[in-house]
Parts: sequence; structure tokens; C-alpha cells
Amino acid sequence: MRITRRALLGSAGAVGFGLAAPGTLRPGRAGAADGAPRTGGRITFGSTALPASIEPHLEGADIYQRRKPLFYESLVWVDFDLTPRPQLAERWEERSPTEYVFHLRRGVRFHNGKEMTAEDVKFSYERVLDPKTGSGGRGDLVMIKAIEVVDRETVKFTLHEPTATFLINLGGKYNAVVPADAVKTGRELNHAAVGTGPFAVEAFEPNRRLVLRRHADYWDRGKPYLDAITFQTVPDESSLVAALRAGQVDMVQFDSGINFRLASAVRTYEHVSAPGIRWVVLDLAGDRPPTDRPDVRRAIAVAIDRQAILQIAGHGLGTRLGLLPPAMAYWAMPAEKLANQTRDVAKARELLQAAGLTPPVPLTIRSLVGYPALAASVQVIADNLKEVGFDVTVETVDIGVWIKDWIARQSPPTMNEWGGFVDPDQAFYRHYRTPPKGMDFRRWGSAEADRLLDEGRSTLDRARRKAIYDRVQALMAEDPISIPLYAPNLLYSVSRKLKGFRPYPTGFLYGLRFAWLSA
Amino acid sequence: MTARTADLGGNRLFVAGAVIAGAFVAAGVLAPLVAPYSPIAVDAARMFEPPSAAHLFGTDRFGRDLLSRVLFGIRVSLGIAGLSIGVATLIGGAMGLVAGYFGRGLDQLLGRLMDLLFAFPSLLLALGISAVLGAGATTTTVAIAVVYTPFFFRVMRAAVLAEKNLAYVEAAAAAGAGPGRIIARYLLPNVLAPMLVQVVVGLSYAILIESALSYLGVGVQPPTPSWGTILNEGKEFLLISPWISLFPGLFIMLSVLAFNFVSDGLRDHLDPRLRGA
Amino acid sequence: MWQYALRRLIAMAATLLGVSVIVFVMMRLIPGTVVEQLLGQSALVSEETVLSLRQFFGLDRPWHVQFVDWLGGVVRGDLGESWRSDRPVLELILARLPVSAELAVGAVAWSLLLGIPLGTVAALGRGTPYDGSIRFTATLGLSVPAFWQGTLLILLFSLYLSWMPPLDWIPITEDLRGNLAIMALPILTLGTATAAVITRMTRSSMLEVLRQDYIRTARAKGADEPRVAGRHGLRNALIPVATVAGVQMGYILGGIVVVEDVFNLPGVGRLLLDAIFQRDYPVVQGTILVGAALFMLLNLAVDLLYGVIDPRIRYR
Repeated sequence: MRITRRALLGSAGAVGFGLAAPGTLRPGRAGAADGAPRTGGRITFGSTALPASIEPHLEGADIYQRRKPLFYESLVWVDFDLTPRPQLAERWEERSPTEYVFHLRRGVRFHNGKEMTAEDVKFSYERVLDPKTGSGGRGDLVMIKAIEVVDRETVKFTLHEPTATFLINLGGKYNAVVPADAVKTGRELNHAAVGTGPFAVEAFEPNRRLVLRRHADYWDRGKPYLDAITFQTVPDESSLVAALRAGQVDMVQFDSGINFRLASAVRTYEHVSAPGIRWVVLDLAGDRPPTDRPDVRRAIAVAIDRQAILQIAGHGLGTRLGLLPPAMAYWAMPAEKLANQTRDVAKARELLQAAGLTPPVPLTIRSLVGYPALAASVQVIADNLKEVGFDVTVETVDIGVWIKDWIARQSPPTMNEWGGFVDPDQAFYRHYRTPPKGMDFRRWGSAEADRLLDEGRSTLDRARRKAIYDRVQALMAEDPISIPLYAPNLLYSVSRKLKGFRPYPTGFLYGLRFAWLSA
Repeated sequence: MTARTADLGGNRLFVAGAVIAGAFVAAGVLAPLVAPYSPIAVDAARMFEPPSAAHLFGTDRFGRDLLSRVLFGIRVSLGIAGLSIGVATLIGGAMGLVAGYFGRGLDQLLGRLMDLLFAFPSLLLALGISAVLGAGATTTTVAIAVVYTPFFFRVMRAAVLAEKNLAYVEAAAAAGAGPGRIIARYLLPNVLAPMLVQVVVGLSYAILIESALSYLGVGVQPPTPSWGTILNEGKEFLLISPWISLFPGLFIMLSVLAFNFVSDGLRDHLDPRLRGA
Repeated sequence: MWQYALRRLIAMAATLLGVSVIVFVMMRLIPGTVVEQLLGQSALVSEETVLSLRQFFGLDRPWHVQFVDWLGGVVRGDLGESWRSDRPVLELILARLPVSAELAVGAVAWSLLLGIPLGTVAALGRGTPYDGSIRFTATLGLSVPAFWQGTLLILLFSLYLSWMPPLDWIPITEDLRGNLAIMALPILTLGTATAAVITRMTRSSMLEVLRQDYIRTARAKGADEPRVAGRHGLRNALIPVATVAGVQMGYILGGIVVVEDVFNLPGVGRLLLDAIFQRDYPVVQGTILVGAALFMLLNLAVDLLYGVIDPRIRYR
């Protein structure tokens, strides 16, 4: 496709207007109802980064997690509405609040041809649970007391205590059922995958290229439709746009809204902007001045212009937040019902005064090297806070330093990006519950939050849980130890020839299992 | 040998280089006065504006005025270059002087050490050092200083070795002048000229290294505006607003070009045999 | 000459050991380890998890133990495995070496092809507008940051000329045209500064030679000017140019990292950069060791080659 200079300037102008009117792009299902699916064909999926390893239980990178469901599967998976559904387990019985029996799907074969058994399931979940493995997913499974093989197709999980999120956590991103004999040294799965997913890993070049081939023995007969998917990196998002224009890729995912908007001019692709469950947040420190005072925290919350951050850092393609992203619709309280959500410079100044501080109030905010959205947000925040009397220093550190201080609960106020949670317990418990049960990373030390979070975890009734987490959200808005800013949308451009792809709020590319190429 | 007909003032490229370099330094010092806007004030209403009368270089994703950022960037980019080369000259020069004058074991030791640093391509070494120290303006300065220390060590040592055995120095030593006096009185004045050329060459390299480090994201960090940092921020918007990637690069090129003209001119002046070379 | 080469090789081994120690210490001084990279920034993990991962990678052992362990492997010809992908480091390097080698050789080749004729023309036409514009252009070439030049070229070709190279790398043995489509711009970018240096060096070296007695003699004997310049001048002028070309390899090695990053080429430079960011110590150490060894061998080869070009040089 030939782009003239005029066309470029035209589209630049369109982008300028587009920025004022976010959410004008069609969300939801791409290429729906396009006739009968057909088997065959290969696609190329372009992105700016690919993971360094494909280890199922260890690799934590988001760019990996999104692709992993295409070749690894768990007992359950998390559907579009964020509820657990059967995957490798055909069904389950809740014998008591602490006893679950899973009946495995029959005839599930691994990519190496071996049939999956209850032993493999037990081995896989125990590997994640074993502290020696060092999996980031261990925290999701600590409620498990024992895993027993009942017979070849049945496995029983016993819990320490009733846990509302148990099933969802079984489908958590660090889990995957692998053959019990696949792991010997603990390193074999770094570059070769043996899963049960719709595709098998044919070739993997760390950070560069990942080639998947159709798993002929897949348990969901007839699927997947595509023969192969090649994930290919390009240098940057401008090159993604150029590759789209040249028709070199069938599908891409963007991180930057501006390049997505630019790509939207290419008519041979459908451009999908769908809500996700990751969000950008400013986390404060409850144990060090000046953010140890609730009034200062409130001052910061009302000084920040969340709408401007969404416009500038997220290019308007996303949602400004209350406390939970809109994709967690059942749980999220709308921002209008929460305290300290709108910018009010006068109030911020008053609050600073009430805290007994005279401007300029020094404040250091951390950011991470190599996270453009965080770098962009923090610059807007610094400018906002300057206006109400803070003297902000932005300290950009490497992820190594960042995570060390974060885990040691010593982090100063910092920009952060988190998510991937599908239940408020996942989003809040370890983050805010004081030790030893939680980590309370921000040293909030709220006894009321502790009580509510414990209650929410052990309550199994959904409506009652909803009431509890509404109170948690109200509490967190009233005393903002953590200030969620916006949730960026998931942005895909999909060739019009590729039908049936559907985005999931988790960002996981489940959708490619059901996608096909039209003739 | 050609007669010394032309002096520095007659070398048009040298003059042009000196004028450009001088203008850069002046613009950097006077940035708060000459820059039309604040380099860090965010304005969501003016994002990605192309160059216009109000914003000669356009605006970036934050609606910040790029001309102002590039002007303030002079302070950061030239500041880091000047400071790091200054430190490298002092430390490398002092070590080279000592090694060259006293020779023997000390010379061997320092020489090996410098050889080791020299074994790394300079950009890679700077990259490694700034990774160790963490990203930021100060650490970038330190990294560049370390990388160029062996460079000045070698120049100084060679110059001292060449001068040391000349008759007039030996005569001074025979007349009872101590090492301090010989160094201050006879050696330094004579080795300063070749060092000066190398300092200017070093400045141009330092600008390039700083911009490369910042462009790769391990150098100066936003919101501090160095030229490389602005280019790094512009990378994402290459298609939508190429001007973000254009102007800082032009400034890097112009400043390096200026220093190259100056160093060429100086070299020709100091070594008439090379005139015009 | 063989004795000389042997002595150089021994010195090389010592330097390589020194380089390895420096790299080893530097990598461990960089904040953070492979563990944090593996966990990612949004991992909600306990310190216990971090500790067990550190143990898994052997990071809890004292530095000298880790180093001796690594060095022992190197002596046996084993560079270890990547901590992220678990592939043998040597295999990773060898798979990517052709890309970087083609880039380096291509850059040197085109800088010589461009630089030597331009430098010669400038020297012969000293003081003319040709000389002036060549000198100006060369200095300009020296002043362009490689990454910026690469960015502008990508912009020009992909946006204004709507031309995109293939996304995935194609080996030169497989498809020459496809390979060149990918490599042309990177080679051009990487070679610019070197071409400028070669032009400047050829010019000054040529001027120097033209002043020498034997040139005057040749002229006096009635040899025509092109013959003087070509036969007597250029040949002798090229000796210092060869030295410069050797020294430029250092610049090229550093430049490869940047150019491979800008153009997303799967070369050794990219491997190194990724490994540094991911704190994949075995890959960083192995890549730098192999890179430094190749670099030094190349320099030795250049030095030995002088003996062939210039009979006046004797190795002691």
C-alpha cells in the first residue's frame, strides 16, 4: 500500500482529533459471523518483544503469559466473563468447601504423544507449589494442603481453609500441566514446550521468534483451524505500522495507542480496541514522610489529573480508573461513587496545609527503566504535583533495584503497572493484607482492610463478597495508599482475512484457538 | 616543508566550527532566557503539534515545546560531554604524565591497566559501566570519563616520553631541577598542545556516546532533556511526528561537526606538515 | 615471525583473562539478577521464592567460586548454557555470528570502496572544490550518530518510499537478494563513520607520500601522473590506511550493537544487549569472550599482513 505525504498528514490530523474522543473504535469481536470456519493456513503475528524463555512455571513476562495458553493448559481456564471454566478437567465436584475432586478430560494428549494422566496434574501443580521451584505462582496455590491421585482420571485437592478464589487460581498464569517425566534438571522446559494446548512449539528463538504448529491430537476435535502461527519481533511500533501497510503481518498487538490509531487507517485490517485488566498505578509508601500522612496521600490523589494521564500516556485508549478496571465489571465500583477521584487543586493545597507542611514539599517518585507508559505517566504526575506545592524528583531505576526494594517492602512512592487479576482477592489480598498473611507492600497497616480482606477470602457467596469488596474499595479511595490511574485497552490489528478472533480481557490469546483464515 | 602562511583565523572550517560551538555553548548557558517555553511543562492540549511559528520544532507527546527541550538539552548533552572529558583529561593526563616521566614498574602497571580498558569497544564499555552504576546523568558522565581516561593517558604519556629525553630537559635535570619543576616548567607547556587537540576530539566522541547511551535507554532518563533522551522518546512516534526524531539528531550532528572542524584546524595549526590534511 | 605470533597469542590469552574478570565483576555489580528479570515487575512473590531462585542459578555461591567454575568450563571448551533459554552459549553465538560478520565485513568493504577513491581524488586535487567538498562530506559522515542515521533511513524507506525489507532474517547462502534487502541499510549505516575515517586517512597519507623523494624521482624520470599516483603513491599510502581500518574494527564492534538494535537484526550484538538486560551472565561472558578473541585475532592477522605488504617491517 502506497502512502503519500498528503495521506500521512491527513491521518496525523485525524489522530489529533481522535485523541479528544477516546473509545470511538469498535471493541469486541473481530470478524464474527464470517461463514464456516476452515482448516489450514499460517499467520504471522508481529510484536515488539518476545520472551527470553518459555518455561511454563517460572517465566513471568506478560509477553509470554499472553501466548502461553496456545500451547499450555490448566485444569480450568478463565473465560471472557472472568469466570473459571473446564479445560483439562471435564468437570469437578465440590465435596466440601475444602475438598475438590476433578474429573479429567479423557484422551488428552501431550505434544509428544503421551496421554495426560492424574499423575501429570499432581506433578505440575506440586511443582509450582514447591518453594524450591521458585515459581511466582506459588502464592496463588498456598491454600492447597494436599493433591491426591484418586485414579488415572481423577485427582483430589484438599485445602487448608475455604478459599473463594481457588478455582480461578488453578487457571492462574503460572500454571500449566506438563508430563510428570518432562522435568529432570529443572531446565528442560526453558526452550522446549511439552503441553496439551491447541498448538505445539515448533521453533523458539529467545526474544525474537516463536513458531507454533497445529497440534493434530488436540482434545477439542477439529480445532485449532490454523496450521501455524509465527510470532515475529520488529524493532519498534512504527515498524509494526509499516509492516501492516506492507501487508507483511496478519495480526499485531500494539502497546502504544498513537501507533494503533495510525494503523487504523489501513483498511485491510480490522482494528480492535478492547478493555483489559492491567492498569497503571501510583503506589505510595505508608511508612515514610511525606506519604505517611493520610492527608498528604489525599492531597496527591486530588492533585493528579487522571484524565490527562489517560490522554497523554494512554493516548485516550483505555479507561480512567476508580480502583478496579472496567473489565472486572462485576466487582469494580464506578469512580463517581468513590472519594478523592477528581482533580481539585485548591483542596490539595488545603490538605497539604492541614498536614502541617509548607510548600515546596519534597517527594521522590520512582519509575522503571524501559516502561514507556510509566515514564509518560510520571511526567504528568510530576507536573500536576508541582502545581499544588510538591517538589517532585523522578528517580528512574532498573527493574532489579525496583523489585528488590519492592519485595523487601522498602520501596519509596513508585509508578507501577499491575493486573492480570480476575478476582478482587487476587488484586488486593497479598498487596494490602499485613504480614504474615499478606505482604502489604506499601506499609499501609490498615486493620480494617485486614479484617475485610480476610472476610472476603473465606466468604464463598458471590453477592456477599461483592458487598465486602465494595467496602474495601471505599476504604482504599478514602485513604489512597495506592492511586490507580488508567487501564490501557488491548489493541490489536487483525487482517480481514483472519476470522473469528476474539480478545479476552486477560490479554491471553485464547482467541487464536478459534480463528481461521478465509479463502 | 610548506611555509606557515595561513594561521588559524584563515582556516574557514575552523572558524565556522568555533562559531557554531560557541553559539551552542552560549545557547546552553542562556537556555532559560532564549527558550520560548519551559522544557518540562506538560500541556495536554498541544500534543504532537508539527513545527509552526509558535513551536518552531513542534511539540512532543506531552505537548512540550521541542525547541525549548533541545535548547535545554544543550546543557545536559554538552555538559555531560565537557565534564566527562574534563575528568578523563585530568585523571588520564596525570597518570600518563607520571607513567611517562617515572617509567619502570609504575609505567608497566598503569600501561597494562589502560590496555585492558582499551580492549573494549568504547561504546560497549560505557554501556557496561552505566549498567553497573544505574541509569542517570551522573552515571553517564562517570561512564564516559572512565572510557576516555586511557585515551588521554596514552596521548600524555607519548608526549612526555618524546619531550623527556630532549637536550633542554636533560640540561635542566643536570642543573638540579627537581621532577616537579621539570614537569611544570618544561614538560607541561609542551604537551598541552597535543592534549588540547585530543580534548576537542574527545568532546565530539563524548557527545556521540552520551546520545547513543540515552537513545538505548541506559543513559540520561526523562524528564531530563538530553538529545539522546529526546530521540529515545521520539522513537515510538517516528511515523506520527518525525520532527521529534529530527531536530535533536541535527543538533547532535552539528555540535559534533563543529568540534571536528575545530580539532582539525588545531591539528593543522600545530603540525604544519599536515596542513590541509 | 612465528615466534612473534606466538608471543602475541600468549599476551592475548592474558588479556582475555583480564577482560573476563572485568566482565564477570561488572555483571555482578549491575543491580538485580536474572531472578528479578524472570519474575517480572508485577510478580507478587516472597523473599523465600527469590532465595530459592538464586540458589537454582548458583548465585548464592561466592563470586570466586562462580568464576572458577565458569573458567573451568571455558578451558574445557564449554561456555555453559543461557540461564533464560538453556541453549548452549556457543550454539547461540554461532547461530548469530553470520549476521554480525556479514555486517562487519560489509561495512568495512564499502567504507574502503568509498573511502580510498574519494581520499585519493581529494589528495590529487588538493585545494580544489572537489577536495573541499570531499573533506566536508567526510567530516559530516564522522559526525552523524549511527542510530540516528539508521532511524532516518528506516523512516525514509518505509514511510516515504513504502519499501520494507523482509521481517525475518534470510541467510546470504539462501537468497542473496532477500539477504541484501535486509542488510543494505544496516551496512550503509554502520560503514558511514568508517568510510569517513578512511577517506580522511587516505587523503592525508597520500599527501604525505606524494611529498616523498621517490615520487619526485618518478616524476623527474617522466612517469605520467596517474602512474605516479597509482603505482607509487597509492600503494605506499595504503599502509597507514590499513592500520586505521584495523583500529576501526573496535568502532565497528561497538556500532554493531547499536545498528542491530535499530534494525532488529538477529546478530551477536543484539544477543549481548538482550543478555545484559536480562542478566543472563553466561551469555554475556561468553559473547564478550568470543568477541574479544575474534577482535584480537583479527588485529594480529592485520599486523602479520603488513609483513607481506611492506617488506621493510620485520617482526621481532
